[in-house]
Amino acid sequence: MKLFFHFSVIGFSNTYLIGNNDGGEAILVDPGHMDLELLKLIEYNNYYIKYVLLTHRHTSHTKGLKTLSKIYDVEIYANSPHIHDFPVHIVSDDSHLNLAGFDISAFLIPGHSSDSMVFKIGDALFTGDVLMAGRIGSTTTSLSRSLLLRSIREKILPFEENTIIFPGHGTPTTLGIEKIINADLMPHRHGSKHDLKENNPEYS
Amino acid sequence: MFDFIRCSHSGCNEFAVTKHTTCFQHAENPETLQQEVAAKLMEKGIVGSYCLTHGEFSNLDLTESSLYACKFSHGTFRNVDFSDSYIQLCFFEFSTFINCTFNEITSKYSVFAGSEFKECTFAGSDILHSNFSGITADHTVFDDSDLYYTNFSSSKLSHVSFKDCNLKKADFYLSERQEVSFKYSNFEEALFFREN
Repeated sequence: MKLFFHFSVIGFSNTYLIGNNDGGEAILVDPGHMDLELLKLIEYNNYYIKYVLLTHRHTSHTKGLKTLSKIYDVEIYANSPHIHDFPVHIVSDDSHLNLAGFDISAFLIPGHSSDSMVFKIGDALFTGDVLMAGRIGSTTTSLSRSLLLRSIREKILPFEENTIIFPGHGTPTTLGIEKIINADLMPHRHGSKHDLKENNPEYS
Repeated sequence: MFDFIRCSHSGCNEFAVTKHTTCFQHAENPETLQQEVAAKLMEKGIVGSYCLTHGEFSNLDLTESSLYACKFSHGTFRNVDFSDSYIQLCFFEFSTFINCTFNEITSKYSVFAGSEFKECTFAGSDILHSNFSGITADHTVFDDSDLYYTNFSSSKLSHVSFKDCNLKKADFYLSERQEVSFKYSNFEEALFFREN
C-alpha cells in the first residue's frame, strides 16, 4: 500500500491518495480540491482514480469531485445520498468494502455532521472531521458534541494504539497519542475564550 | 507508506524491526541490531518505510538524510545531527531527544507528539503540517523556521525560542509556556484558544 498526502489551500483540507505499490486502480479520500499538483501525483505514480471515499459532504472535502469526475470515471462512496448531484454508493455504519484490492471498514460517527464516516484500511484510519490531532470535530450543539464524543469512545478508541490517524484537517497522529494528549477527549480539561489572557502571548 | 509487520513475540503488538521478525525489545541481540540500523541510517541514502521503535541512538551524523514513512517511536536520541534532512510522514512520537540538531531540515506530515526535547535546535527549518502536540521542550530553538500548520497543542515549553518564525495556523492551544519568545514572529496568525 502506498499513501500520498495532498493539502488543499482551499478549505485547508487533506486529500489522501491510496494505491498499490505498482500503480493501477486507486482510491482518493476527500478530494477537497482537484489541482495540477494532485493530478501529477496520481499520473506520475501510474494510478487511475476509480474510487472516491468521502468522510462527509462538506465542500472542503468534496469540491474537487466536479473536476475529478471529468478526468476519471469515479465511483463515489459516502453515507450521504446527495453529493453535488453525483450518484453515490451509500456506505452504512459498520460495513465493509473491498476497493482497489484494499479491505475497508466503514463506521458512521455522527456529530460534526450527520453523515460523518471514518474509514479504516489496515492500520490507517481516515477520520475526516471526526477526530484530528489534539481535537475532535466542531459541533453546533452540545447534543451533537455528546453524540460525537460517545461515538468516538465506542467505535474509535477501542482500536489499537498504533493505529495511525489521517484526519481531514491538520497533522497525522496516532490513536495512542490522542488518548493521552487530546484535550477534547478529557472531560476535566477544557479550554475556551476565558483562557485568552493566560494563553495569548499578547498578554504575557 | 508503511508495510510493517507485527513482532512475532507472543502477546507483543509492536511493529517488528524492518527485515526482522521481532521488535527491538524482543530481538535476540539488540546491540547488533542497533548497530545495523545506525549503519543503514548513516548511509545517507533514501530510507523508506523503515521501522525501529524503542531504539537508542547516540552520537550519529544523520545530516542530509531522506526519511520517508519511517517509524522510530519511543526512541532515545542523544547528540544526533539531522541537519539538512528531509523527513516526511515519519513517526517519532513519545521519543526523547537530548542535544539533537535539526537545523535546516524539511519536515512534512511528521509526528513528534509526546516527545521530550532538551537543548535541541530546529533553526532555519521548514516544519510543515507536523505534530508536536504534547511535547515537553526545554532550552530548544525553532528560530527562523516556517511552522505552517504545525501543532504544539498541550505542549510544555520552557525556554523555547520561536524568533522570526512563520506561525500561520500553528496551534498552541492549551500549551504551557515559560520564557518562550515569539519575537518578530506572526503569533497573531497562530491559534492559542478555540471557540468551540
